[in-house]
Amino acid sequence: MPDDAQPGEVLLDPELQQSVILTKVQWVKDWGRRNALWPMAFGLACCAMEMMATAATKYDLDRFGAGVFRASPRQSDLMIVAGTLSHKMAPRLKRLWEQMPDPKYVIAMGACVIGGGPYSRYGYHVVQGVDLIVPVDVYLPGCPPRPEALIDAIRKLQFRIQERTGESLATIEAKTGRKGAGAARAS
Amino acid sequence: MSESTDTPAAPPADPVTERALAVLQAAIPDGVVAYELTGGHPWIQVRAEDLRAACWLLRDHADTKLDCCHLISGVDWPDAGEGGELEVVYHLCSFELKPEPGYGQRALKNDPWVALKVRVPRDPGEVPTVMDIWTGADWHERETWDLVGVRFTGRRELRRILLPDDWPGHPLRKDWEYPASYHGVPIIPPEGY
Repeated sequence: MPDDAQPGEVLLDPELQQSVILTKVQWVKDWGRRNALWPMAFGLACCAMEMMATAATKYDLDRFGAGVFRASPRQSDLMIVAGTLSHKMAPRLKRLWEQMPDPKYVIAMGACVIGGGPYSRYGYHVVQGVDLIVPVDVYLPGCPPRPEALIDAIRKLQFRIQERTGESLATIEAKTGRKGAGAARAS
Repeated sequence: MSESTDTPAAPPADPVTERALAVLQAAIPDGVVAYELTGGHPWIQVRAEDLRAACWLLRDHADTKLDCCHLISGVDWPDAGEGGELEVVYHLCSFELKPEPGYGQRALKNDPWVALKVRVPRDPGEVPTVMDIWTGADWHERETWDLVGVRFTGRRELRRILLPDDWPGHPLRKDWEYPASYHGVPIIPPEGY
């Protein structure tokens, strides 16, 4: 240490300053998390067609690091609820969501899972919004939404992951003890 | 044009339904209750006790050969008869018969189609099965039981096919009431219910 150093001053080798970035570990973790989202291969209805198109070559979801669709919820971070959610399916969706490791994120894709969509008045068999079953991070309207819209939703989710330092809605709810609006539990 | 233009010409009767009616009336004289030979989807209504005989006949008779039960639908008539009636409509078609010339006026053109109807009292709403006549009727009967609540008798176990096994009631009945929730998930009925 040089003799003329002031107390508290950070001393770095000038050569080291050229090649090292100082940042928080949390930021790096979030950066990794948001750029390696693994969605679950889980489609319920016609929105799943748009989801498949988004993952295919023309729209190429892999450009945003979210194109590795996993066949198991235990390997997934992101559940894209794509399609009409019936009351028969709701307990299964809840179970799949519970099998995903934390932190986990949910995108409600399309009008049906946002609030029943075309089945909101007489559809006795359709759950009136997936947020009655699981907490939703991003709502994506459309019937069905185009692939560009799904990419936009995933980008929004990525920004939110960075802002929120990686915590999913489920984690925040568990910490604060507050439920999101209308977040009831299925079966 | 020597014909009078006052009255429009009667719409042409459907040839296949006409033949089916002749076959039924010859074999089961009292079986046919009502029929409609014109229009977009002509139909013949038979008594419930003659349903199976009529179905065997329409399937095997050389004039009809309706070898495919394409669809079974149920209709709830809560105000008909005493205590309401349930109607079951069998939409039958034939792969073997060739379409006739001039057969293109109907919605379901080019193929021989016959709609066979049967009506039973709403309680107990029992209709004999046609599963042994057309094997494909199995799932259609299960669906009609699931949504309208028609009890098909003489077949194997009648289970729900679309809705969960513990679903309350048959939702396409006119007096079905929306439950408040299903397994903790609220069911929001439309306004006015």
